[in-house]
Amino acid sequence: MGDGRVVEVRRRLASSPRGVMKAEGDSVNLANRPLPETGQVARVVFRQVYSLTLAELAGLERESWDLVQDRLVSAMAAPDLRSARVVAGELEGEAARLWRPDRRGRPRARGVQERIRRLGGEHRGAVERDRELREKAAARGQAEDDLERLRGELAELRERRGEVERLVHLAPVRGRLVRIRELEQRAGAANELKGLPTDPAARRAELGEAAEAAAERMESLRGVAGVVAREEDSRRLREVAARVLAEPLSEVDRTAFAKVRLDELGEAVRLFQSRHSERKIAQQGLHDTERFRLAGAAPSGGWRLALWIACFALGGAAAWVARHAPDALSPLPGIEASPEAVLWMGFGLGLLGSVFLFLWLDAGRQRRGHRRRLSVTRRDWRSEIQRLQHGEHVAQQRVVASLGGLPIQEERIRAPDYELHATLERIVELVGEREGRDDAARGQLERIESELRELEAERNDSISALRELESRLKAIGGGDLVRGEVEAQERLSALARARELGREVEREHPDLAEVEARIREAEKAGEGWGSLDASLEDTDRRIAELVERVEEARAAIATLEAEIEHLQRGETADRIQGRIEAAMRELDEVRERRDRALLLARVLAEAERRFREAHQPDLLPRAADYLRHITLGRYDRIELGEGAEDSLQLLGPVAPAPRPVGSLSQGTREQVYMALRLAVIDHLDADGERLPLFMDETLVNWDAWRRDRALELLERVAERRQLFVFTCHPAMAADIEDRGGRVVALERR
Amino acid sequence: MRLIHIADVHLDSAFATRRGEARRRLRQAAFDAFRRCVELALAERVDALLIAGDLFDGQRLSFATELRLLAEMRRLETEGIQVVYAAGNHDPGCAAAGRSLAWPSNVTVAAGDGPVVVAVAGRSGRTVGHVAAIGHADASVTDDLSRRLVPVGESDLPQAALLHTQVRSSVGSAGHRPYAPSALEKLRGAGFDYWALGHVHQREELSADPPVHYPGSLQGRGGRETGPSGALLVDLSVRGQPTVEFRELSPIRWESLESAELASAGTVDELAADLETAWRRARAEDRGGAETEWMAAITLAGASPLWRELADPDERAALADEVANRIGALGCEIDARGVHPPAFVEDHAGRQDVLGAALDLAGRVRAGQERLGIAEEELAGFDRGRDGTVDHYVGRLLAGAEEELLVRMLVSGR
Repeated sequence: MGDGRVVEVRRRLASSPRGVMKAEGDSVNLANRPLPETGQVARVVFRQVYSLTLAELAGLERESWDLVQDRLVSAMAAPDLRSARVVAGELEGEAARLWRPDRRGRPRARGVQERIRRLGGEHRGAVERDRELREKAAARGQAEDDLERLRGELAELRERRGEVERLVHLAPVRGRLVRIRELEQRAGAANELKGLPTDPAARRAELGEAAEAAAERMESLRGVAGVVAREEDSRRLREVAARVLAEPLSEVDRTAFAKVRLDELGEAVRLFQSRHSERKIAQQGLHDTERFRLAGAAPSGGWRLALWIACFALGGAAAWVARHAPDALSPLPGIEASPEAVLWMGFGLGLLGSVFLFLWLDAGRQRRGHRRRLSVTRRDWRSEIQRLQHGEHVAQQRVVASLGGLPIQEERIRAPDYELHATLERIVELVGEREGRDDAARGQLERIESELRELEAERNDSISALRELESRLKAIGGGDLVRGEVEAQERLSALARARELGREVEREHPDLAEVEARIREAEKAGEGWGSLDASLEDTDRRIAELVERVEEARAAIATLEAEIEHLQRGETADRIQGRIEAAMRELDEVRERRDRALLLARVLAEAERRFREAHQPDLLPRAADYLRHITLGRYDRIELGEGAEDSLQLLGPVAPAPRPVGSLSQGTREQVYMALRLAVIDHLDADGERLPLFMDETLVNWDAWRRDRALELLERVAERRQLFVFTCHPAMAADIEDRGGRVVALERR
Repeated sequence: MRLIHIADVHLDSAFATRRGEARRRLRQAAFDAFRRCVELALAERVDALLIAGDLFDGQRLSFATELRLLAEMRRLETEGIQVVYAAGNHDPGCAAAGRSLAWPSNVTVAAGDGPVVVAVAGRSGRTVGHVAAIGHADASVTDDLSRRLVPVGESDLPQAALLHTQVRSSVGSAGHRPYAPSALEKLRGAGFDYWALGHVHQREELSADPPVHYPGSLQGRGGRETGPSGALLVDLSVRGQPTVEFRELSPIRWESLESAELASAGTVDELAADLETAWRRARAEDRGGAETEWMAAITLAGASPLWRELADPDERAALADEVANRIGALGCEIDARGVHPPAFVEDHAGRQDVLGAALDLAGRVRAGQERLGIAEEELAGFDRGRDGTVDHYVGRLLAGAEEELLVRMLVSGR
């Protein structure tokens, strides 16, 4: 100890705290507590500073002198400390990387701030998006309302169209129903028209014609019946019949011909003719008698003889010309007369002459008869004439009776002759031929009769119907038949048409009652039936417009929904705000970390400054003193250089200008280091017990000159403190021993 | 009269968690909790739903959330359940960005124009009670609004009061600014059978007779709102015998975990494993619901060899993600401000070197015994409103400074 006391300390240099201190006969268990006398230096400092090793010196070669200097000066040479300046620099660097007051570099805070700014923009965008979203949603709501309204209008319009369409389909029905009503109105009271024909005029004509036809038919049938075989169109029969009938054949009941008794008629006619002839003869006879009586001349027949002669003459002449003068046979141009023809003409004349000869002969016969008669007396003639006249009368009666009521000409009745009989016979024959030729004709007669009866009835009916019709027509026409005819026809036509239309309508619309009900409803609703097509067209146009507007609305809604969906994809403002707040928390943290780093750097810088101020004034002179010794005066001053680095500089006789230690050789730097270490040690325990210094092979690499200087210095040091030098070099141990040191050999275990 | 009482739903409020997925889920969870509340109201066939303010963040209510909110209100309207909603400081006027919502007819809003009294109709249509409510007209109400709520006179029916307020004596008031303050004694003496309060996010029974309750936030919003969140089912049918029952509704639960035993974890992976173990131990005692999702708020303090990593936000975030994945949580937030290097300052106290000087100086500055002469402008993170004075801010920042300086200065600290 500095006061001369001797304190013995035994410690195990191991982790277990075992230590004993003996002083002045006292033994104190130190455990691992420091010696009381060493309290002025912290153990950790002592451990680090009061030992100087080869490694430390060797490390000077690698390490920046500034760091070494810092360690020496600021850390009092504690090897476990880093340079405060360096650490402060690191802290400031960290601070600058986190935040800077200027715009240099790219500190983290700026990145966060930029992120916050960007998020702010996104937030504004999100707010705007939300606002736009609300607008779009409101617009969509409005568009949906509009669409709903349009759909409602469209539905109404379509319903209306359907209604109009139904009305359009009903319109023809209605038209027909209206027409039916009009027709019925026109037709008037149906009972007035009941039974009337649709064409009264035609019906009248028809009835008239029917009556006429019936009459004609009757007449015709009568004709047919009267003359069964008679052909209505037989001219011959008519001609024959016209000779004797007092009426046209068509007006004679054909059945009358059947009643004619021809035999009796023939007899009667013969009787009449006979009687008539006899009467005529008688009368002639009477007359002749009278004339013969008067004249006694008999009819001559001289003319016949004359004619006979003439004919023979002519005939002979013709034969002579033909034989002897044929050239004279063409009296006329263009007419050729052949001898043969003239011959035959002569023959004909001869023959004619023969006839006249016969007639002359007959006349003669007649004259003879006449003479005979003349032999009868005039009385007999008158009596005969009366008897013959009576006979004629009876024969006329018998003729009339035999005629069966057949209308015969008066003159024929008065003087029935054989022609009458023949004609009637022919007629009856003709008629009989017909009767005989066709049995059906008899039936036809019956049928004819039946038909006649029917025709009669029909005719009567027709007439009756006609009368009735005309009566009704007049009633309809206000007394005017024609007008009534027209009116009835029109009314009937209207009624018929009305009914026809009604049947059509009923056929086409089995649900007519319902249809009529719908029409009534429509009429009640005031539908304009006349403008349905236009209404339909207008409705279609409006529907098309509405459909287009609906589609536009749908498209607008779809667009809005797409826009809304697009807007909803964006982040909401609150989520972005969350990111902003997280970023702001990060920014706060970055700033605080920066501030903390800055504070720590300031603390270090201030601490170092204060420490230097406090200790450097003592430290550097001490070190300079040691340096002078160790360099033999070459360097005798150590100063802090100017500038931020505060680097140590050496001055001395060999260095009138400051030389930064860092620029000197390794050996010089080691000398400076040792000087400073020794100065630090002196400084640390300046106010207390000088603590021992331990050096381990520290000078082994020094050259001899420097080593000697160092040992000399250590000799001085040893005057104030214990100095333990560890070495494995015997020369070093011997050198130290030569300088008064005690060598303690440490045995290897 | 049976009621459901909720408050502080904060629909569409911002969540500042790191993970985007956690933010998304938390945001959705707020609405899910509200929807569960509506379903609870329908299932319990209550007469009314009382909302004591801060239903949404007025400036941030999104269009989509607004639509969903109104749809839920319409569900209640369909079932004849009335809603009485008093505005809070986050939704003053019950408005979103100054715009009133198109509430259905069953919603009565106390928007700040004055007290409203709602006659609550029961299922039969008869009045079963009354609710008096008053809301915040703006975001900075400082009056005691409770004084304006008065029970309906001469009524034998139960009466409830609805108000967004900060009762001065409430435990949770410490963490909130004093909006619309009120006194518990005044509330108790006002004559209401039940006080349905909102504003403090921690569930708290301030009084049992008469019952004065904060239901807490409907969905926890951060590490300070831990535990199950939900609604209060209140039955005032029997006068003088009210029952108040908590029903958990929040899909996500925040739970905190504190760990000061960090010295043994030499790697981030080891630390993550330690935290996982601690979490699982905690969950063994409180498992939550079958479908509960978790958000972990972990506070680390003490010496840790990982102090550098824990000081780095990116490293801390990676650790948080790793822990979240291990424990199956939705997200994890780690606060490591209390972590310091594993250095024993006392061992170096008295060093006669710059480190000793720095340690000494740091301690003195942190304690406010000395100043470094740093100007306020030099400090990037100083906020006078939050930190008060520069000395206070510096003192806060230099927590653990000696340890850090020690580690930084010591060669072995690297």
